[in-house]
Amino acid sequence: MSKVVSNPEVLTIHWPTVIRHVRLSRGLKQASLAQDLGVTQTMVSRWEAGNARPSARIRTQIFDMIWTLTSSLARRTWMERARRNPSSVAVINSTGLVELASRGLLRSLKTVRGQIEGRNLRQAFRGDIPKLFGSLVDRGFFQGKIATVESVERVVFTDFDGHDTPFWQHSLHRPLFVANQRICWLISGASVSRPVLQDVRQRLGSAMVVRKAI
Amino acid sequence: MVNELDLTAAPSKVNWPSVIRNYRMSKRLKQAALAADLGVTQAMISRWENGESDPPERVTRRLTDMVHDAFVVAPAPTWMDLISLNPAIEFVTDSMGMIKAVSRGASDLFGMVPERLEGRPVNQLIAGDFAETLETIREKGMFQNSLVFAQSLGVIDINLASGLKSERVDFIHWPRISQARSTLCVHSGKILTDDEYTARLGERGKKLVMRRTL
Amino acid sequence: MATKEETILHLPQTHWPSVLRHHRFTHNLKQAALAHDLGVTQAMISRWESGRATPSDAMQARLKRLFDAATIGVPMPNWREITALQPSMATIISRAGVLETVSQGVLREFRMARSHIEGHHLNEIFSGDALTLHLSLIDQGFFDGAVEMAESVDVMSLRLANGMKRDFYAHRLHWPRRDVDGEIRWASDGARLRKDEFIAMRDELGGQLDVILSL
Repeated sequence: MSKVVSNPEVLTIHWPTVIRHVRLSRGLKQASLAQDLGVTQTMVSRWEAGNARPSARIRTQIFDMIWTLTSSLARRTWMERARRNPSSVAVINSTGLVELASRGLLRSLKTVRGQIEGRNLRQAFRGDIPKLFGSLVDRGFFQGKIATVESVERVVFTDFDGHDTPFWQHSLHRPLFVANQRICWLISGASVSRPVLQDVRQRLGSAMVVRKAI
Repeated sequence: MVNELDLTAAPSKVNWPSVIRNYRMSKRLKQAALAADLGVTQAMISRWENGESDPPERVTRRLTDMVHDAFVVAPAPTWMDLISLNPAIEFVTDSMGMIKAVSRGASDLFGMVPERLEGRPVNQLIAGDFAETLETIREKGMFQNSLVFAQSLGVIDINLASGLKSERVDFIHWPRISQARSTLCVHSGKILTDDEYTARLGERGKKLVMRRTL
Repeated sequence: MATKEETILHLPQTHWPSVLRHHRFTHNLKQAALAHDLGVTQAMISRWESGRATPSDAMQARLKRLFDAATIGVPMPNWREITALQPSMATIISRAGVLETVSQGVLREFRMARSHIEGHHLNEIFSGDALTLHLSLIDQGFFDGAVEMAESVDVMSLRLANGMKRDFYAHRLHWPRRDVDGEIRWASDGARLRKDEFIAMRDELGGQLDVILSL
């Protein structure tokens, strides 16, 4: 059932997609982005075509640019605030390690922080969550190819004593562009009851709605 | 389904300090200005807001009317409300591909009541040519204010419960800012006969025409 | 435990030519685009669709996962767009008390259409805690940058059309966010609570509201 990622390519940032995505989202022509980054328009063109890889300095700048599009906080402050969030928030890295669990998530899981942060999702969860992880890897989520995914899933959490806590959750999944150019999986959601679940499923129309990076 | 709460305070007692303060704040009135409106002193207003004394019946009756007029009377319809009254085919989508509003004509075309259409991803309902057009205008920056408008001629395929319905259509798509200051796209169109379609395609020369902003 | 809903793709006999063509048509994918997504050649897709070849078991598993979703291309969502998509109870409110943006979670909990909430004043939708919270935040200088964040445990009193009200409990986090126009907006995120959770949280927080001032 667990998926072994044999091809490390699926976890490396796909710079052509990421650069084009942030550029188009800001409504910039290649020349304007080039100016912002202090390079030539030709360089940007080559990056987007996949003919050249941006330098470490540029890679950091792009990541910071993307970060500031969605948050005005420093990453560390954002993490601290996310932990206090009364709604369900989780941050999982590309190897499946749960890096962060919010107050709200702990409430849904009926557990404490020590039972979930630092654990691999394949040990802590059964059912839809590990499957979802595999699906995201397949779609290039950790490469930056996905803008958001919306889904409804059956979450089954297992604590260290083997006790199961099952519930349904309506979730939004997005990439978190953390430092040192890693993309993490940010899940924000809410527990839903059976009747609400059917309603959301019907509105979504399929198991998931995937919004790819243009 | 009404939630029962067993709060012990009598529910019908109005919290006048709160109501008066609230009303003043929303109207950006200083205590002196409200005092003038009510024919009392500014000191009286101050005492009522602090809960030091209760306003007399003459004043509470007047306040009830003022508050009622300010907040309960329906606000003027927004441009999006007016879309729902349009008998022709018109609908609004956002950058995430969700339907925000539909006209009578659009709701007839999709074969569903407006309540079931709002909040759905439009791609769930539409396939083929038209869906591709929506994707293209999104890509070309419709939601980043890169386009003034787009005109499309083609076939719209609708996913109905009974099967796929296909119509030849002529549509115009243009950006519009919402109340919350995000960019939405209005799609307005008409079903054509085969002859009309051929004639228009001849006039226009292309199936998709986009006018870019400067 | 309930089993997950079966789709047509999980039946023993999947007719791949039909499934592939239907998927490509509904999502406007040319054979080349689907091939690119899957990391195979366009010729391979063509062979599958014509029935000349059947996808391998590993590939079938991948296809099933890929097809069980609706896909569109979008620009990077901004802060407001993300808020609107959130399944939790999230809002963006202006200094004047207008609900500018609300999340899907809010629409779900309030059971109201977006147009009946967005653009309307807090007064029109709520009474009680939700209103006094707004005034308290103004008092504390929230909209002038004096507050780093605030946490509240509220009784949300929704005004209904028939003049009645519906109450529910919520645990929420609030923080200021400066928008492109330079004005501070009130952002909040939270979840609904059961009554026992509400009582426990009020106890833990030491009241309805905890405000953390900026340094």
